[in-house]
Amino acid sequence: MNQEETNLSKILAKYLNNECSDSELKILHSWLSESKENQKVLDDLMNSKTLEGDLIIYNSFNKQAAWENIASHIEKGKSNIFKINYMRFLLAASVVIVLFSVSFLYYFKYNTLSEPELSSLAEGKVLRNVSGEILPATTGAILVKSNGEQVTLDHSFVLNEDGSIAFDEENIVEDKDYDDEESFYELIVPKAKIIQFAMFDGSKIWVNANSRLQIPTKSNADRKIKLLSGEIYLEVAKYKNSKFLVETQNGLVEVLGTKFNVISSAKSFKTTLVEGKVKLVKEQIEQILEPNTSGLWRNNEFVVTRANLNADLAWKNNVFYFNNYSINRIANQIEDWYGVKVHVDADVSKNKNTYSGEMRRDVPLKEVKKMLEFISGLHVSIEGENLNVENK
Amino acid sequence: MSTAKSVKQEFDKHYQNLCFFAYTLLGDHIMAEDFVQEAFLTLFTKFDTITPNENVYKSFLYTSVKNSILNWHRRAKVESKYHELTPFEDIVYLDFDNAMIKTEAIAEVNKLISNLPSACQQIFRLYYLDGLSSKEIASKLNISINTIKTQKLRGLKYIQSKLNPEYFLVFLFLLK
Repeated sequence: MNQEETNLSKILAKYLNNECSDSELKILHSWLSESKENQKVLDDLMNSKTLEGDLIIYNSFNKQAAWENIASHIEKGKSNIFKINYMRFLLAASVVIVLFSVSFLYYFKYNTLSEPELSSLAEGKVLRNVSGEILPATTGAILVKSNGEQVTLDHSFVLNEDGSIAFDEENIVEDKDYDDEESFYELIVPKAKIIQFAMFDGSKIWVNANSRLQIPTKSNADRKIKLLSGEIYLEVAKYKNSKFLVETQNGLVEVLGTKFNVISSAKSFKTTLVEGKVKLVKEQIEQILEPNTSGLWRNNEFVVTRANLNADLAWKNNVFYFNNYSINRIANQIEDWYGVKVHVDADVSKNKNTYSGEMRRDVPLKEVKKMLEFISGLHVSIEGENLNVENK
Repeated sequence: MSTAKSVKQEFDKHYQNLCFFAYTLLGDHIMAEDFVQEAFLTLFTKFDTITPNENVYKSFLYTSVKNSILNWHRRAKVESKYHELTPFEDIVYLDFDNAMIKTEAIAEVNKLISNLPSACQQIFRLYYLDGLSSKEIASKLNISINTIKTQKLRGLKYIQSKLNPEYFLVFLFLLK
């Protein structure tokens, strides 16, 4: 807190109150001309929309509850706030491990469907209602058996111990074609789709849009799911003495009974642990995660950080959550959830602005367009199955 | 005065500003409040080692929050590089100086609202801070919509008399 800042704040306030002396005005103008960011501070104050937003935020912090929290910590002799605050997330959060995809080719030994066919399945279709509005994702997925046969699912399902898939107490799919220990189903959740399923051990798995997994058709000593790409959230039950493994292209997560999120992409994988314990494995390197932490594979090690449960579990809570995200990152989420293609103008990508916001995602696309326009000040338009983002 | 009481005094003075400051840099309410609350906890534990001076307390609190944010940001930067499809885009630049300036400026503007005559102020707060519509305010306070309009106009005139004419235009839009 240096002297210059204090003076500038005072001068700014005086400027607003029309009380600036000439010399103070000079100081203000020279500060303004120093950088674009400085000018922006004043511009935001002079813009009624941003001012209104800022005033609302300024008044949104609950002082009473905050002091009660601090006071109770003082009483208990605690010196760390965070663990307590994140307790409320333990109730909702599970460990979500995000595993990013593994090389496709490696896993398609048995599949008679070619890779391009499978990835086009993942593209999905844009959903519309009767008025033509673009709708958010619905429950659904495509299950591909080891013989290449596809089954379309539109409901959550249960994976039984004998490898059959069932819902509504009616067995519908069985994979008897291969007795191979390695045989699996490929589960493709296209864009604009989402699905949950349960396993014979009581574990529950949520799969986000635009994800591909392999789930076992035989129950082996170890329960293993391969996350080829995309994102899953798991609540894993303890089952006899078997471990639960989530495998990705970039590493492995070993679960010791817990709730976690995994997101996987070509480059990396990130695991967020809500409750319980997991072990991250990559070749010789292992890392155990404690609750409320995330592990990211980087530079030949697992980097462990405090979890941002709000952000990492947002999808499972059916919410879009952007915390200082670039427009491209936001665009990816929208593409996955609605199946539309987002085109961001080159000028917009160039300016490197980041945005924050939170909203439910079980809404038609036009609601998201409105929110995006509001938080970014950009011009967003829907054209057929495309979303365009440009400067105003 | 007990330490807790002294800390509470500082809390009443600075909590809101600190939260807004942190929020400006983080974009996340919960994280912002966490960091700020921790700063106050630290103030409590270290209270006896700090020079009993207003500016020193203020400086301590802001430095505490700043450090928490810096630590978090260092780790978040690592993540975002690997999360993005284009690796080098998302480096968020932390502008602590401007966050500070912005915080104090908003605090000033907020004070302005607090200086409004009380009937006006109540309506202002309900409209802008609680986000109620004129209709909702009318039924909540049991007054006519006309009264609301009158009060808003009064607020306008009051602010106009206090403000830089250029800045007043901003408020004009706010008050529509």
